[in-house]
Amino acid sequence: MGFGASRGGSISAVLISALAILLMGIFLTISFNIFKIVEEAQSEVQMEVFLEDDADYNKVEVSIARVNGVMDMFYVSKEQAEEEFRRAFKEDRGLLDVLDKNYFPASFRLKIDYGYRSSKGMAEIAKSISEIDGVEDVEYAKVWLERLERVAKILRTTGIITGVVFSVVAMVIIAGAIKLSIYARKKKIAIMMLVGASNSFIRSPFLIEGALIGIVGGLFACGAIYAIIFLVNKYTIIHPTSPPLEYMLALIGFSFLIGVISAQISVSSFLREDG
Amino acid sequence: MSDIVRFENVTKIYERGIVALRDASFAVSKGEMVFLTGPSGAGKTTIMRLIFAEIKPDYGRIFVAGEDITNIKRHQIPYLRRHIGVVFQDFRLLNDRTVAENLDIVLIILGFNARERKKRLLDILSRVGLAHRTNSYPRQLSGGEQQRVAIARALATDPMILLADEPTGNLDPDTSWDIMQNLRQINARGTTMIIATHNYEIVRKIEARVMHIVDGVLVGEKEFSESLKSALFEKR
Repeated sequence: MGFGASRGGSISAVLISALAILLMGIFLTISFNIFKIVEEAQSEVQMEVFLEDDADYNKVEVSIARVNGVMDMFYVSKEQAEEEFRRAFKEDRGLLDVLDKNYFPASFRLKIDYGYRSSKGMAEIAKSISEIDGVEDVEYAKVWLERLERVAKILRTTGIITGVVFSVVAMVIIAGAIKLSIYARKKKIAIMMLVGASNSFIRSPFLIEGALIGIVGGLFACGAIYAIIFLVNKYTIIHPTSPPLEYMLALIGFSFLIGVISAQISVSSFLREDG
Repeated sequence: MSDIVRFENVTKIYERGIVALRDASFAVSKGEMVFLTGPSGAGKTTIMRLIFAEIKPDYGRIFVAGEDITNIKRHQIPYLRRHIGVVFQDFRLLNDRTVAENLDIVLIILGFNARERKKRLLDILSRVGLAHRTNSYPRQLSGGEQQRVAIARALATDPMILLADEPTGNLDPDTSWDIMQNLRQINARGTTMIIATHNYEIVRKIEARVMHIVDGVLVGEKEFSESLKSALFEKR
């Protein structure tokens, strides 16, 4: 039944909720990029199992293969290990010449299942493998992995808090705008109630208004995020990727929900005190 | 049972203990026309508001069309109100909408389609003699015309009962008389009518039952009616 009466309130609500969604979206983008780095790092997570010199590597291989979480492995012989060292430290070739024999241990390099690429999963695997006969030592980037996980955890917590805070801000603003809109139509609502309009009949235009504020705010925010990513890519040395379209659609959907819920809260409180 | 409105020992107490209605019992029959008289603040409006469930009684029971509405559920109120038309002293029209749009809102609420709405609109407006003013805005109309629009709006739901709270309170005597004639015609077509007024001139001229209320108490209907009429005749 027309949205004209309090357009100013609705426009500022659109802008402020757009800002709230934008901040959420920026955070989402940053988190997305960091998570991507974390994920890439995790995909390279390896474990190296060093063997005792007299170990039967066939037997060890079979035992390792039985450990849960081991996806793939390949064998690095003593000779290959020395060769790798020589290649990696070309300048210090003299270093090896003083040695009377090859002290490099043979090893298995393991690829780990996705589900086990956490410090906990890795520790489990390492423990099982170190108990195998012929295994001298198990190594993986334990400290580094833990640090990575800590970053991811902080990011997730901050993300949730940011999301909640900005959602609440957006809801308060939209609810306020809807309230203005309701009060501007107070007389009309009173008349409609008098002639027998059901609550849902009175409610629906405001829910639509809330939904529109949410969707438009969400669209604005997504547009701004793409613009910011574009500008950052163009003018700075960091090159963030934009979150996939599904994320953006989810953000708009979320914004839409916030709009509807806020409107629902406003109308319900009005109908309760006035009904 | 032909009572369309029945109050059984109804008491309504507002905030701060103000008793607006005390132990009121009465019944209005189907098709009847009743005047509710009494000084302002006596409780006339309270009776109206109780009937269309804007407020609930503190004691007693209220029946409308045989249904007990004493503790009516919120979601049932709209359906009750579709059987009750209400007209106020201050018209309560939407001033930024035309006469047609003011009525159309009601018809939309009732769920009529565009063609039915158009047909009904003209029918209702001609019943109050305003078919020629469909596209005027309320402010372009005289007070009497505005009240006719309000009556038309109240009739749009095709109500069983029409409640009119001081319908002529803002109108000059001639216009008041026209409005009353209009209400009488509507009553003659079968709509039960309860009219709150302190315009005794009108009460005297129109043959209808009178319920008098003073300080929230209904005083003897017949006795009052007779004494009032004789008093007015003596004055002449």
